[in-house]
Amino acid sequence: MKRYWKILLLSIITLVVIGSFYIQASLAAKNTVQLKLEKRSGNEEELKGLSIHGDYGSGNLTQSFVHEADGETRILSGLSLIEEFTTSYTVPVIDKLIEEHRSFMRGKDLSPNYFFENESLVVYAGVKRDYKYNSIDFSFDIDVLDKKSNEVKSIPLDLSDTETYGWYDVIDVGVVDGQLKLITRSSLVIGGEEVNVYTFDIEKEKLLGTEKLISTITKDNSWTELSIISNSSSIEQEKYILFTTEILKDIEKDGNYVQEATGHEVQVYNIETNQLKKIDVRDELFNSIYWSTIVDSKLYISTPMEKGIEVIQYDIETDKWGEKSIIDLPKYKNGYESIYTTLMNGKIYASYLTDDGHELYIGDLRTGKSLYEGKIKVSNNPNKTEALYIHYIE
Amino acid sequence: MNRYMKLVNFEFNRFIKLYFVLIAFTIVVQLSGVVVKSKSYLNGANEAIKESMLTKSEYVIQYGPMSFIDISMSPWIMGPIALCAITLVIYVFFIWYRDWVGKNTFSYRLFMLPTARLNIYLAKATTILLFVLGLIALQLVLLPIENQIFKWMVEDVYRIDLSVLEIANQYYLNLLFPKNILEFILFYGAGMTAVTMVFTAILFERSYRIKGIFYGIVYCAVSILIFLAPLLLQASLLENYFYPMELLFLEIAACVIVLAGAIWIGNLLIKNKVRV
Repeated sequence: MKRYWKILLLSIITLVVIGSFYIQASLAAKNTVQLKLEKRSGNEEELKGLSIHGDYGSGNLTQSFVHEADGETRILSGLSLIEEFTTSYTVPVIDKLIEEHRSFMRGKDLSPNYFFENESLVVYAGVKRDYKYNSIDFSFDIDVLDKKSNEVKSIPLDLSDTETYGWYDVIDVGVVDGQLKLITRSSLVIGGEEVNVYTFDIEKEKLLGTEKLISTITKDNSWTELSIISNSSSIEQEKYILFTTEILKDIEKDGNYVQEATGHEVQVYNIETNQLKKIDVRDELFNSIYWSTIVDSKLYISTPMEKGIEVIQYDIETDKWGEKSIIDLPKYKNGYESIYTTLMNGKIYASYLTDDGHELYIGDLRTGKSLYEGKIKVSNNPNKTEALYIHYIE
Repeated sequence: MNRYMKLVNFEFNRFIKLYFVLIAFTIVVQLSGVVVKSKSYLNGANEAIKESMLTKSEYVIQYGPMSFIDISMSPWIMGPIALCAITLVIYVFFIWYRDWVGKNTFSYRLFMLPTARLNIYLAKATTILLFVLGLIALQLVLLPIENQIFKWMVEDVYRIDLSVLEIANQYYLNLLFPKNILEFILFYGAGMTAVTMVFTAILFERSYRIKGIFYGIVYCAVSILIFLAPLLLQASLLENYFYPMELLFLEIAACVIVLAGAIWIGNLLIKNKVRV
């Protein structure tokens, strides 16, 4: 044994040093920044399934995080390799689909835009991109899973017109009376964009027809910006999809070119009746339309104000503007990225900055009542200085 | 087992002098690097403060504070690490070829030992692993010491304090220190697989000489292809068929296949084909 002393010593030191380093590392990993919601009023049930995305800065380190409102905070930056593999980057509805239909979900693009689910069907409609030397061949990749029989139907369709179209994407999938509807957005090679509806007969696995909903054009110094507002993390049937177009122009001002909006339009598409309708929106309200949602044929638009949020209603069926309601947030402190609002599932969610930290507000859009109010607290903060930005709630 | 231990000890002692030189070099250069870097920051700060009449905190606002990252990213720290790494990579080859060079062919005596020749192969691999892990441990011992020296030399106002863990997680250093023990085993396991692959390729050359170089290259290409097969399939034919976790397990399996293949082929070559 004596003559092995050097090798044994080195082995033991190595083992102890590396071992203690990793014990320390695993202890530190449990000690990361945690967000906590402290209820002030309302019902904690409202937090179920809610996740808050943001950045947290302490010292000179900024970390992205996701906080599950009824669970833990996960730090997204600097994940280890195994964590990269096990962290889900998609929304919970898709995770649930993977759990229930593991083999159907294989090899699919996991954006919720491409999925539809009702009690009898799961539909996937993605766009396959086949990269060629100087063009891309597009085709639809449509799979329909019958939940009862577990049968999968595939409907192939080439989108061969690569001369005209530079890009294709599916923005929503819906099923109306046994017909599959795909709403696609595509860009034209010569500039501009189009929104098309493709209707398929699921039973016969056949394309029934296509219809152009919207097309925009680009001229020398002016172009049209198209935005589509729909609940992108939902895979259920949506009745309405909102489109906004804004004409922008490059205008010379004091030698600099600046963008100026010269006109805009808001349209709403009813998937069930196939109707596209215009909505008259006042100029000052137009930018707020990105913070809007549709509940039971009513459009709700929210605008942040000095000490709260204003919510305006519009009835799509009767084309009438409804009453305004105001959500009072007396402690709200105006400033850079100090408020984030999102409207979904008939509710309004707002996280906002006050003099002592962030608060979360959840309200019912239909009744205008507050459902939950609470403080967002940070624990395990190693440094004194901190900055919290919340930029997404789902 | 006893024979194997003796062989490991033998291989270990053959490199130990150079190994101590590497260790000493690393300690000296890294520690002086901490001193030099801290001094030069302080000198810069003092000069600027004298010339433009700044206060210390104004200087920090204008020119930024110093953190250990400034030291650990510099050649003073990275240089010795790179030198150790290169030396060990070269030694992966030299650990075999030194048996063939010299006046009396040592390999002849080595292969005549009354033990399975595979033990020679495994002993050499073990030695490399021990040397690598030893240097990793050295760096882990040095980092807290260097961090402490940095704290002694530079005043609070100028400094952003980082823990050893945070330093080890920064880029470049994080290549040496994976985030958790499981990953450490996976990373260095994959590394050892690569070492055995090179060993077997060397044995191809030692068995068939000129022709063996060609065999060795083909063998390495096949091994790498097997290792990458799950990833290549995922990206091409199967179009994301596997879920991430499945892919990780397939990769581990592929790595084990390559490792087993390397040792098995290495064993055949060293037993039946190797020339002295």
